[in-house]
Amino acid sequence: MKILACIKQVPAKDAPLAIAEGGAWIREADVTFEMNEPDSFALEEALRLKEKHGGEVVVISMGPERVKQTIKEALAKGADRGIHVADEKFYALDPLSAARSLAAAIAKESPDLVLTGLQSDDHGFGQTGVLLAALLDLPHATLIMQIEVTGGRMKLKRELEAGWFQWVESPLPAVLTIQSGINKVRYATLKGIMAAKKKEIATIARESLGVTSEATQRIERIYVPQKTKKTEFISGTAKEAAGKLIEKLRHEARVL
Amino acid sequence: MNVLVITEQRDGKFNPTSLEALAAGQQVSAETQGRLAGVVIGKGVSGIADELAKIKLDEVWLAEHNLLEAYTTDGYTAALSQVIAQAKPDLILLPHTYQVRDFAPKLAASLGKGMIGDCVGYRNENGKLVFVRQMFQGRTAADSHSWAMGRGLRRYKPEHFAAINWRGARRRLR
Repeated sequence: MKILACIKQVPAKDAPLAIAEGGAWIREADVTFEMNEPDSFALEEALRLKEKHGGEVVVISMGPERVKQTIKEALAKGADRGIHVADEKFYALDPLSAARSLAAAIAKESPDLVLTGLQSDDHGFGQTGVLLAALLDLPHATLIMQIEVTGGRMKLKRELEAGWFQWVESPLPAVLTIQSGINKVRYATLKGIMAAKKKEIATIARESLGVTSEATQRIERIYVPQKTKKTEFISGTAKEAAGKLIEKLRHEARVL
Repeated sequence: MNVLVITEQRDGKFNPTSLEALAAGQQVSAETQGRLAGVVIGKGVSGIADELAKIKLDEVWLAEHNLLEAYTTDGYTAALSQVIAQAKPDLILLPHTYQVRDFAPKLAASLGKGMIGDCVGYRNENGKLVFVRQMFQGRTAADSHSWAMGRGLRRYKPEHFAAINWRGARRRLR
């Protein structure tokens, strides 16, 4: 199986964020970068599928030169080779343009399976996987919790709201967006890190892919949300109020 | 600005986020003096379409077919593309659900339009709509504008619009 895993390099989760001048992005100089956590689940799933069914795992990442570090991390974990789509202004790309560029690079590989994470920790658009499927004209399924491959077909478990799951069948090739928490992500071993040095990373300039579509949306401004205070009284008997409070903590405050 | 709201139903009932998307649609269309239409999609759902017709909007589209009984990306995208081609909205609003996450980007791509997801609000700046969404896992907010010929899709996050519009929508829903 040839599996292509899309991995994005994003500002580290706990990096302090300062808004850049102009307000359309963050100040990158102050920030360390890491592999987007949802994509690390997708990469892990790709590696497990390769271990089970044989084949090759190719990782692709778009962005400036620094994303090669994230590609190397993937190679150290067991991916076979990497593709870096070079673009200094990647952060400003709208989802459709970004997906068009990735699709142009991915199409040349003709993979059996394309895996992406659920969404990125920075933009959080959550669209790349589905857009890739549309652009590559492949079937897709999202929020995948389990993948079983037999013959040229897959049985997939998808997560739905409220604790429900759904099983779907899909042919190959296809695009899947992987739900975070599907597996336990491995660490790169020393042996893997050494082996990664010999693995190939092909660099493609984004302009050379010939994707010249107009942007379909633009982030005008990023800002820290203003803090407000609000007091809400929950009515009802103690039991009713407790029930309502749990609902609010779960769905509104999202601390449960 | 003519607004089309794509609703989601299960077992004959709208999910709450659909009602929020409708509330948002009511607000945007009223502010921009446009028409508001809603879509119900599925099989055997004409009853819910009638429910939808009771709230304050201009048009209800019903997309019914045997193959739409169970959700599939291809079925929904194909049916909704046809509705959109006929309704010709300027703005399409969708509720924030796992199902919408599954097909909305594909629908947007098939229309060649951008989709701004997880919107928690919007501002009307002299006719230009700027949509607000969270970024960096909620640590920042972002103002997004889509100007691709005015036809964009927006997906509204639950709860946030409820606070602004729920009461308004409820009055009309009665």
